[in-house]
Amino acid sequence: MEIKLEKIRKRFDDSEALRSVSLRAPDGKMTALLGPSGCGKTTLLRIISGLLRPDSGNIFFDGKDVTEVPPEKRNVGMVFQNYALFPHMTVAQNIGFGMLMRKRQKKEIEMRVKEVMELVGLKGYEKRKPSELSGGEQQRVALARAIAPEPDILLLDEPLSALDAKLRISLRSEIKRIQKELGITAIYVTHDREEAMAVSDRIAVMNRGRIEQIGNPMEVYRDPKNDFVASFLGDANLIPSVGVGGLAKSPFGDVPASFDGNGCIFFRPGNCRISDKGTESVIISSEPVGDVLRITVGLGNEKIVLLEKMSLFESAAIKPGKKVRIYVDRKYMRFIRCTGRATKTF
Amino acid sequence: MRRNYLFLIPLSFLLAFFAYPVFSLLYLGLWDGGPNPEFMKEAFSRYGGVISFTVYQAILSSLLTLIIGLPGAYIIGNYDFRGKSAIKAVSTVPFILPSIIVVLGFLALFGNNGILNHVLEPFGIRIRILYSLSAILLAHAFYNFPVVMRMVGSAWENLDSSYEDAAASLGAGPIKRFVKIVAPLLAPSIISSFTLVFAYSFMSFAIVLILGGAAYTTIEVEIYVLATVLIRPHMASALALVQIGISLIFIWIYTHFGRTGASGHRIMRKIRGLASILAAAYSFLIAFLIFAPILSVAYYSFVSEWGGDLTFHWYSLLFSEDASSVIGISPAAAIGNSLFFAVLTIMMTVPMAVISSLWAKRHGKWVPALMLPVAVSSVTLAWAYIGAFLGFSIYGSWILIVMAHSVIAFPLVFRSVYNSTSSADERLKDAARSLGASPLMAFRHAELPQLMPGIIVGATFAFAISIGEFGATLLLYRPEYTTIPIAIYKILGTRAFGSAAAMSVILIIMATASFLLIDRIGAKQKRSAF
Repeated sequence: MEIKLEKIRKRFDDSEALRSVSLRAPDGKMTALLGPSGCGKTTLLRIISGLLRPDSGNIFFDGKDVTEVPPEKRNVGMVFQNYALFPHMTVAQNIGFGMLMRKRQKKEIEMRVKEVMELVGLKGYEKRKPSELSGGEQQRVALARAIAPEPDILLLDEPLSALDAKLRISLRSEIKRIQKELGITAIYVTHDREEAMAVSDRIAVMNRGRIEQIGNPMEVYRDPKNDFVASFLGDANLIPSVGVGGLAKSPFGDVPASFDGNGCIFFRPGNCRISDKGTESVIISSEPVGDVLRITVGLGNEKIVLLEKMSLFESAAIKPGKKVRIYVDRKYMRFIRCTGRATKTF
Repeated sequence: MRRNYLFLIPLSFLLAFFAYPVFSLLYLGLWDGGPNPEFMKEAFSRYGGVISFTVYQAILSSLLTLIIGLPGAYIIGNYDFRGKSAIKAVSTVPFILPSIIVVLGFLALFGNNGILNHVLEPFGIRIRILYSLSAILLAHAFYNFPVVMRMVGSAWENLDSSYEDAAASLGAGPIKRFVKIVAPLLAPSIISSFTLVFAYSFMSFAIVLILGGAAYTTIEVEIYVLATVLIRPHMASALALVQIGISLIFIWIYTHFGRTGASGHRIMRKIRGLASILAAAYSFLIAFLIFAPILSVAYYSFVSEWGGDLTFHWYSLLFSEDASSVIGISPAAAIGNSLFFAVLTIMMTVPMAVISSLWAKRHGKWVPALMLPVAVSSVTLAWAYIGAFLGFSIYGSWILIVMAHSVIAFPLVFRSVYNSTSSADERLKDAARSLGASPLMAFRHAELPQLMPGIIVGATFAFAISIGEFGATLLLYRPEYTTIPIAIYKILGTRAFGSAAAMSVILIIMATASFLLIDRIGAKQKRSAF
């Protein structure tokens, strides 16, 4: 089922949570809403679910206007940030709740609960209470409960944020697998760019109540529209520049510019390296990050970060104050708009 | 550790002034030259009606209290509005109001010669509810509805909205959400408040004694009569054991099924439309229930009769020779006695509550044992004192009155302090020690300040309980130890309602001033860092 949002606005007392947001989430795909806390992503999700009503704008499910439909009639499944498992019910009762509300036959409910529990790998947990489960298990119950009544749409509100890093990685691929298997349209809210890139078919990057950019994960990563998107999706080097006649100057050569005026040159740390054919600069600091060395160099007033795979012997030669030449692959350099709202990563 | 030895102080206090007297009750009730079940048998046969009436009126009182309190819990638990904190603050008033004042307020408002009857007279309406079951129920409900409002309200306030959101997203409409999610999750707090109100109504004494008249008596009143009028110590003890037994059952229900619930994030709604009208109407009802009786008492203390001119007659009468002969001592001395007992009760209970709380923090399973005195009503306790200390020199002295007040207040004071120890940060004490503070200094500067809010609440409870205490004092006092509530009761017996009202106003003013003073001392304690 395709979701379409048209000019959604929502105000809370003192702040504008959503400023005219329009979005299309294609049928059967997972769309991530990615952004920092307070950007309005959860508000948008709650508006899609019907738990919150927009001040203006419309929501369409497969072309049908559902703006006035209450949440219980929208046939959406939702996974909450803290799971919101009913503490007074067993795992099986939790999972069967949605079907009970839809007045399904008892036999049918039992069968479906069994089926879904197998799908999420919870066989044998029927009689447990939520308080007797680990965080990861609770998360699986929450997912099972949401998909059990066969909803048209699955909404996930930071479903993994309460878990530790290792569990997050294994569970996110499982969520992805289940979503693919069911072929269900899903919206996944997260502030974790890695998670968004790993699970989703499309990413909508949000900031300050607006969607800054929508595209597939690699697209937004490689071709960010502005400095905010560039820096939110990963470490980014941003050097102020000016577009004149379709070109913008940079210390590493000219870059094609799609607009005239102020902007910045953008490239990822992984796309530059120390090389004899590069531009001269001075090492400021360096730190090992696993297998690679993260080196900060100074170039005029600008700082640039690069990642370099080096042997122990080579890295010993990287010392503050030392002069090195830096080369950036032209193919990965972009001239993008500068909003001044880039998140500082270094 | 040294602290464990300190616990011997509250322990020996509770053993001597709670456990031993209760034990002597067991002896008197079950023993007469040998094991003798006759008294217990008689308690259930001859006093069976009284016992079942006591339980019956307590259940009805609790139900009525729920009916009045639950709408308030709903408003507190779901809406944000101006004056919410004021409503919450005002709702504590009945809880710390002396029961004798409740009785007087009730008489002044609903009595045959009360304000409502005078106001409604032109419309041909006459209220005749004194000396009836409804009078008892109404007074209990008035006394206790804030308990329901606050306990259930705070559970509702902390009921995470995401449960209802999840239910809605799973297809549950508003009614189903309430029935399947909200009601079961609030059930423990409703059970808690119900059993608490039951316990108060079950052990209530002044209200039944005066408002129930001759027709309605409860276990409490019968124990009082058996002990002081009929002088049947074995029967009084047997009935007291029944009282303790039934209370224990309810305390068991309270600890097993009641819980105040986990805290979650609830999204509060803005109040508007029909809800705001209903909320305003309810707030008005609350304000009326709380203030109308008190204001009625004040009114009658300043007029010669209904509609009469403003006068200080009753106050001057209070300080005449006549009044002293009725009360037994001068009113000023009664005021002095009340203050003396209240201050001593604070001094007894607060330090012991602090020691017990620090001890109980490491021995959590003993907390229910420290709360046991709540199972014993004030009349039962006083009667147990008479049985236990009759031959001792402290019998008939003011010490026993202070001890009774302290035992009655201890569970509440302990609970208040204990709550703040469980939220206190242990590491602060460790940090102080690592910075060179001695154990005593670490306690004084790092631990005690964290307990201060609980201590203030506890001290307020201790003061309120002592200054309003009626049942135990009535059994234990001698004329020279007459307190204000006893004085009011005696004046009421002479039908000089105006003077009783004047005395009540003095009591209310004194209590209010003391609460403010305790609060100020607490605030000062918090401000001064060294």
